[in-house]
Amino acid sequence: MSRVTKITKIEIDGDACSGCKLCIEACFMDVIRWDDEEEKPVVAYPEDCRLCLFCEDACPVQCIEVIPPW
Amino acid sequence: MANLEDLGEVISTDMLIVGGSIGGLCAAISAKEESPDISVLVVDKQTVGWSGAAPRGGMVIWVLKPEDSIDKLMQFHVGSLGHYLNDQELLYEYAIGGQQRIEKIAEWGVAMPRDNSGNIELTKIYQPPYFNPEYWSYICVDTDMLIPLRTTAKKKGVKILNKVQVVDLLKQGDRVVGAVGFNIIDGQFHIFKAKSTILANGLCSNREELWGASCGEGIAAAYRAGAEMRNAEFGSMVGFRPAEGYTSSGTYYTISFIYNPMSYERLTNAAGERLSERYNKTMPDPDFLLDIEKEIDEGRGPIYIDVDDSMRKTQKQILETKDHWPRKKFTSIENRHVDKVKKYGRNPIPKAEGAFTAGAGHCSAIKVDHDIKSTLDGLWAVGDTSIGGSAWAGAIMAPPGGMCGSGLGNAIFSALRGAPHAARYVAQAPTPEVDYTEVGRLKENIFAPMQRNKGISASEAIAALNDAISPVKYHLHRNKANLETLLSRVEEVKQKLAELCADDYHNLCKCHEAMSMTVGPELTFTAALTRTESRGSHVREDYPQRDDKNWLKWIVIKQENGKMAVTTEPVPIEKYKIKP
Repeated sequence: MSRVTKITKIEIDGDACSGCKLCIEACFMDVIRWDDEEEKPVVAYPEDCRLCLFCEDACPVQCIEVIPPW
Repeated sequence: MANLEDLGEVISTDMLIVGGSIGGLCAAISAKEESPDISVLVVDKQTVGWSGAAPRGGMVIWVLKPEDSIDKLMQFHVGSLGHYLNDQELLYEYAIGGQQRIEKIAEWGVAMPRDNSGNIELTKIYQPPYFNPEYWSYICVDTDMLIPLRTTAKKKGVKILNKVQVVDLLKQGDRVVGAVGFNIIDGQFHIFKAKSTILANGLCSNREELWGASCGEGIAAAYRAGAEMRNAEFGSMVGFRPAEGYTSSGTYYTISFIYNPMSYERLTNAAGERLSERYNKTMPDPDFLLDIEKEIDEGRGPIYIDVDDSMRKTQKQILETKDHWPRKKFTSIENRHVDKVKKYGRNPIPKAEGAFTAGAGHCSAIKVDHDIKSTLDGLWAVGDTSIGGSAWAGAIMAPPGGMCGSGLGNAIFSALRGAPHAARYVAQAPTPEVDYTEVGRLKENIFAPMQRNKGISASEAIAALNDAISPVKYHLHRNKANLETLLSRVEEVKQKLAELCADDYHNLCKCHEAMSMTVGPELTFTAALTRTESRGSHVREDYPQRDDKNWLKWIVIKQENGKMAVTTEPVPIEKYKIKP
């Protein structure tokens, strides 16, 4: 069976990020986690992204870009 | 004496609600309104207020206006969708109280479109042209509708616990007295002791693109605890992903949506031919799936929905109509998808997949009564965990056949009906006693994949399940041989689950999703093998006729000695108004 092997890429502009964590709340697949040391969100499990775009939409400073795997 | 606290964090609550999407939040608020003094805890594996399919796949709620005809609706639903397997009393209750329920969630803060006088304004804009004429209406709700519900729940004293996956129910004799689970970030094991437990964590599906996160954990946990399941044979095990690809509106469907003629009449093969013209059909019938398969087999795939100018115009009108989606959040998400298509193109569908995507099913089979209580004492099941098992929809997959808005509609209906009952139960329920040895056994099982150094990952197990059950030929040709083959293929995957391994708690969560995802298909195929007739969305090649003499019955499945035990229960058609 054919299966998509590439995974979604999610880019977060760390300089622009305000650290509000809304993207982490908005993700319903646990793709984005919080990096305690950097105090920034980190894309931990991009392979589980379902392309709902809620993280992009929730971000108050629009610093997230979801890039589909094709 | 062994101490339960040694095993994990023990949390006692009067009411435990598993799942914090619309069903869970409405249940929580409703319970607090019924019994303000009880403690209510909502636990979600992600974040309450954002989780679940509801904010992503909802957008409209089905509702009957006072001037809509309840008689016509009942006749249509029982005769054309449910094929006389509906619990007609519950269907009536679902249909008749929609307006009051809408007003209730508006009172809880959900923004509603309103007319100039401030009255809630219903719409018929989602009405497919010849499928549900004038029988019902819709209310549009935004994708952030859970946020005000969460705020209201907190104001009423509801507690919330995020990032905890509930895996198993706890029992004291035959009574459910809580659950166990773990934090998907730090692995903390939680033991929830509860007088009443409400499952609100969705149907068994396949982590679908765009909106699906529920993998049937609640259904699987209820099944393992001995709850009865009903109407599983009407579940759908394949998804339909048209080549239009990547936008939320009208581009990813389960089969139930294709029963909507607006979608059906736009089904198009690779040569650009409309299937409705090629097969001379104006309405989807059960065979249209076979038509699609034929097209693919003969090299004319993939099949897609041609979102043509008229459909785009309709979508544009919907998006631009000011009175719908009052906060424009749905519009915002929609526009993002459109922008993605412009920037990155559409999702290419591999030809081998044709129109169908692998799916682990749409099973929502927990059997509940008119109080939305399961067959186990102390356990209720609301929303998509029981939309099939409640039987109001009858012999059709959930959400029932093209009736947009039934997912949210049923979640609100079942929560507002079940939670007050569960809250009243708390007052007379004894304090739960939890067995240390049993909790220890469950904990060991839950964390077992973390103890294995080699084996298969959750992603591999889910892929194996999809490969096992997704071939179109098995689903679209339900017959004894094919259903037995499907069951044996599921069994092969189940054997592999003993080798599941995880290297962190996120992946441990996925392991339990994978395990839960095998339960729905097994329930569906077992029930489908039992029902030796064709009815509604269950079509048997070897029994092509509806058999009212022998099959005005619900098929009920429960676990006995580790196996699926099947019984039947006559539909009390004699007391119902609408008869075959």
